[in-house]
Amino acid sequence: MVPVLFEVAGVPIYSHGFFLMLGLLTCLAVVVFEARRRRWPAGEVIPIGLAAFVGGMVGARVAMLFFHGWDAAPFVFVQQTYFDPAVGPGSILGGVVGAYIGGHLASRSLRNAGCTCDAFAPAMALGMAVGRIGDYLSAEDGLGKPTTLPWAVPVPGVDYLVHPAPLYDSAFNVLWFGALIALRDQPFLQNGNLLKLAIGGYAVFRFAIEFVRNNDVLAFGLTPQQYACLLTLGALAIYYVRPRQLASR
Amino acid sequence: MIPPRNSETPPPAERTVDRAARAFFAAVLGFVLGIILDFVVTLTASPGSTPGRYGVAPIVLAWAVTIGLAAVLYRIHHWALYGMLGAYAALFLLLLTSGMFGPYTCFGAYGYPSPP
Repeated sequence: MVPVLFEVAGVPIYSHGFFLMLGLLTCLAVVVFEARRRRWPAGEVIPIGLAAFVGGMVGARVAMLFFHGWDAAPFVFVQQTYFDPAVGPGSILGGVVGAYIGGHLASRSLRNAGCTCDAFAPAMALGMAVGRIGDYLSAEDGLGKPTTLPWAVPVPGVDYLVHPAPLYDSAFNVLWFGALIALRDQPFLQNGNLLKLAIGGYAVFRFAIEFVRNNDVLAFGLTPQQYACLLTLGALAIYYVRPRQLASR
Repeated sequence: MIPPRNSETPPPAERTVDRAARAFFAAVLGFVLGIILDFVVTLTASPGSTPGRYGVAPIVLAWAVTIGLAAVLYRIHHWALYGMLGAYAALFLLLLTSGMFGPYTCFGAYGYPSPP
């Protein structure tokens, strides 16, 4: 593990904070690039982007109450801790859902006829791919369960090897980014559908990868994160099934 | 000759500039109020406070005032609300930048299972 990446004039730069920042900047760069390519006006990009950012910030923290119970209360209820990522943990899953809700509300407030949020889909995947490298290097976001596979890695404090789960996440997100870029101009993946595909795809992957992560089991052998993935996939299924039912009436 | 009733209506280009200026000042107002509110909230609570240890009232009041201010700003001008959100995003990025220079305690106490 490499908790300190390098030093600048004797000041250590820590890998988790560095890659989290780099992931956010990568996400922002892809959103700007995609928004320009899609001729998305700044008057929509900025409000939706800000609402998604703050929604993600809030969602990441609120989700910890679901994942860690009352122990998470100190950094979920106290407001100013939301702006300090060093005070407590945040959840990627909660961040994604919060960002979606924030962006959707902003889009509705702008009275958009359709959803122009698809620019966020590849951005989200590449941002997560970069951010997860920091999780791996700092060994802070639980690496994974013990394994004897050839690519198993050591972690501080234990004398066995574990799955490099954040690197699995990162590798998936690089591939997912490529897939979303390849699919982004498909007519049936416009008007918010690309973003929904991006979120659904990550939920499916995350559900699977949770079996090698070392999160606590909630019930029936599944972790809270897996239940969150199932809820997300359920919400997407309801969204796509409901219009057909209404149309068939 | 009686001028047409809408002679005082500025030409479209001028109206666009006026609208942009109003949106800009609304965003600045929201940004500044967001920073001030966060400062006030920070003074009335402290990191690590729990509802049980610190008391529910200051925490609920902070959220109520924040949501109330957001609603008022949105009523004034929707860009005022986005200015406030911009303040929060800026605070987060600022603190994240400072977090690069210090140990990050995200999942420091993450429990690894017993060896197989």
